[in-house]
Amino acid sequence: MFKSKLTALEYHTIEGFNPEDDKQFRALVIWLEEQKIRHYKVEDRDPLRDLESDKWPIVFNSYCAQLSCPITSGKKAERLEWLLSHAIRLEYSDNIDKFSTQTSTEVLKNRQNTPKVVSSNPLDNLDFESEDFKKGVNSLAKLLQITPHPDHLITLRAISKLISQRLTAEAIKDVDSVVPKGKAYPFDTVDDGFEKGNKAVNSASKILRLLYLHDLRSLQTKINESIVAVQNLTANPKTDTSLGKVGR
Amino acid sequence: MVVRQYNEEMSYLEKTSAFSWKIKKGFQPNMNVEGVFYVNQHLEKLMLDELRNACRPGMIGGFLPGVKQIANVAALPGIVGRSVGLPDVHSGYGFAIGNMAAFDMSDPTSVVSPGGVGFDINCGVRLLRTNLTEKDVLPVKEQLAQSMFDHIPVGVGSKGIIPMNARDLEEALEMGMDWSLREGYVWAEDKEHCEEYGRMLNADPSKVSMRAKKRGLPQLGTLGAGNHYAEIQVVDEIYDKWAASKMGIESKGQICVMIHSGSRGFGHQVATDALVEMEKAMKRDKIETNDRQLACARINSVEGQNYLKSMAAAANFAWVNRSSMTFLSRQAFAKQFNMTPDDLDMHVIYDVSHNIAKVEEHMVDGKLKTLLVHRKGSTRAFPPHHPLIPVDYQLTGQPVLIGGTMGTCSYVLTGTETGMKETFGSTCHGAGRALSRAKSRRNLDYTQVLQKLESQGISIRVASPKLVMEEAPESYKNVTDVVDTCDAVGISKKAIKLRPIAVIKG
Amino acid sequence: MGEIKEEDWHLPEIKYEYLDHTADMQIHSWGNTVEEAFEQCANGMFGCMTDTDYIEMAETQEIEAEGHDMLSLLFHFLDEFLFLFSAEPYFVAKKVEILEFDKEQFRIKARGFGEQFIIGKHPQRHEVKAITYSNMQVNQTEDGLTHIHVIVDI
Repeated sequence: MFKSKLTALEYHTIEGFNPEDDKQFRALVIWLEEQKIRHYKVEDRDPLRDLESDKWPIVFNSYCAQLSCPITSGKKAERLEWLLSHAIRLEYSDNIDKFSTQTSTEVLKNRQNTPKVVSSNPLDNLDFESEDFKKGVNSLAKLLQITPHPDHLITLRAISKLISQRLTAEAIKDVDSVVPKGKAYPFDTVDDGFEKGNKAVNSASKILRLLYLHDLRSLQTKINESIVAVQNLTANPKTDTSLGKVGR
Repeated sequence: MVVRQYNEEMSYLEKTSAFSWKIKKGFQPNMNVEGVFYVNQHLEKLMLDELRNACRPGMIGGFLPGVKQIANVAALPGIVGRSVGLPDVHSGYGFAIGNMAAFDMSDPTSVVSPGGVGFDINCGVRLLRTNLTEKDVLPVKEQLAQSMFDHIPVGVGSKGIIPMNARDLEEALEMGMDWSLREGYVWAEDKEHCEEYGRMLNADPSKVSMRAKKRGLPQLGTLGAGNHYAEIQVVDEIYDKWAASKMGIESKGQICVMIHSGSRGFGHQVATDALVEMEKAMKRDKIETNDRQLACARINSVEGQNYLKSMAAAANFAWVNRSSMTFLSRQAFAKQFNMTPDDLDMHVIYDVSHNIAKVEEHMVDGKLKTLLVHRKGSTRAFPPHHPLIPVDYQLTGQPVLIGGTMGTCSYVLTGTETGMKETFGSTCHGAGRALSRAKSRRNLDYTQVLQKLESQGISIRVASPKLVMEEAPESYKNVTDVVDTCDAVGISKKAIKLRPIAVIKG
Repeated sequence: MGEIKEEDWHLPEIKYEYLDHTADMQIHSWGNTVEEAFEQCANGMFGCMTDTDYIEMAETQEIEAEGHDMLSLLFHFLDEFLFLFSAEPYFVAKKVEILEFDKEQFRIKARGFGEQFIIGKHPQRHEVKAITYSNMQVNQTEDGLTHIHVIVDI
């Protein structure tokens, strides 16, 4: 509840601060007085410093009255809230110049004004829509036997996928690690119940279906992996042959 | 029960294709929809003989023939589509075993029936794969069978060896397989490959009686008796290479482990408690059925809702049970081969239920409806691209595990679109009995049965050897007939055939 | 749990049998009185689970059951004994004796003589999953005998 205010005041115990805990409450109050509020003279702070004393609540009450705390009821949390706000007000007025310009809009603007790094990488400065660029992408596609897509950026994506998956140094060295082994799915002969008359549509829908299954399989594998992770924590398979008679 | 002459009965049955028969309204009184059953020539004979026997005068009968039961189910309020008899259908308590019936949730008269789920709630099958081959296992087959038998408690009166107290049970009932995951008994990938992801979310342990919990607690992690088993199997044939490879089955000779078990005494008590409650509710809500054993309650009634919540808890119990036995099987193998289950790649291929009621969405007459689908002795078989099946099987369809009987083959099928339309995504579950236990005891000798298994190269460890003839293959319908019929009708497709090399039974 | 007296050691002749049923077990029991038929039925149920010859009469367990008619009384009577077996104390009875049978109020008090089920000592037979109402009958025939038919799910 008081986290942001405690953080602003740089109090040493922010996490786990419990205002209902008398000890913590009193400690915070005396810290506020000594470090931030400084209402009393140093010697006069003694009764407040006496955290163990039975008289402390009375001392605290008169302290609040002296600070003109508007909350007169016994509610500890509310009084604490006011004290913290008061301390922050004092802190602010001490350094008014430092804080006055820091409005929220200012802070936001500053973040955006981080200087633009001018890239020394020539690739970044290319014009991605120029005719030259498009031609280059298409010829690269032809080289790699990729069907060019009307949107050349998509073609570029396909090219990069192929290169990063199949043409890295490791992939070329160890072909088996990237080329899937096994029997090819008898694509043309299998009837998938997808007959829509048009052969091209059929093929396309079959391909989409297969891609979907591919994704589903990776999802299922990830699910299995998370199950295994949980099993590492919970599993404890035991058998007790004394419980039943087995075999003869 | 209306007793008519056989010929008159036959006038209500119509063969609509090589493998399917229609049961017309009027076969039994008050049918709301028609019935249908799928059989091949061989199975057809069994079905019709059963009916013929029941038509003979003077039959007291302890049970109605399967066709009659299918028709009685068709007379229940709120049923939509058809009352379906799968190829392994045979008579049971109220509902036949191998019967699927779906009820419209938006119809206030719709009912839920514990008889449509069975006493052994969430009795089901789980299949594990390994990267071992028959060659690896043959030299140590006996030791491996013994190791499995030493790890998994089986048979009547057996108690589990996974320590649990009442609080663990409460958590397990609520969390299902997630409990097993948390405790570390199973792997994360196992959950992916389980029907309902191993947990029914509407489970409420507070709706379960103290008696059921007391019965269930000592039995968690046990296999049970009767037709339950754990088998070490070898891939015998691969019909659909692509589907098999998605399941981790690459070649013939690969070793798998199949576990067939349910919710033990817990599920049975839940079902019994519900039946008692519902008998009272039926009088109060004036629900009439053709058969006293078809006890049911309105889905929205207190009894109906309580049953669904406690059934879900029982389903969770069974998943925890199968997960515990997965753990124990992995231990048995690891000990035998001195490798970790991880190194052996003992992954769960899939886990199916064949005694359960689920809320599912299906197309009925061109409209999307929410139905309560009862599957008793029937397995869900969803087609490719269905959102409820795991990612790995989106392109192949849901795996369907069909356990054969002791010493016979098992199958793995996949779900199809046709099945979705014809049977609301349901198919058979196994073999179905042909001979009564008493007849089996009279006609077969247990030593002969054991010898035959040995001659087939199957190691067997059984808790009650003298009763093994009741479970002999001759007592059951031929599972291959059943599976071939399902494949021919198109409600599921064959993918893999497995044959056992070791059987552990109660 | 009362003391086992000398006369308790007497074993009744077997008046039950198992009949044909496709998947489950049908118990047929009979007796000169309704009480006897009920007792034999319970004996028959325990006979499904294990070979009663191997059970010693080490202790007794008592149960109380009630119903709203004869059939539901039979159901609960058997179910109480089944529960004694399925959970603590995992009790199997060599023989069952009815202490009180109130035919108006449909109440029974009964006692089983037996011991705790131990794998290795007692042969494992079938697991009785539940008592069913399927074709349950309690009839009196002309010769004054009471016959019971009940199917248990195994």
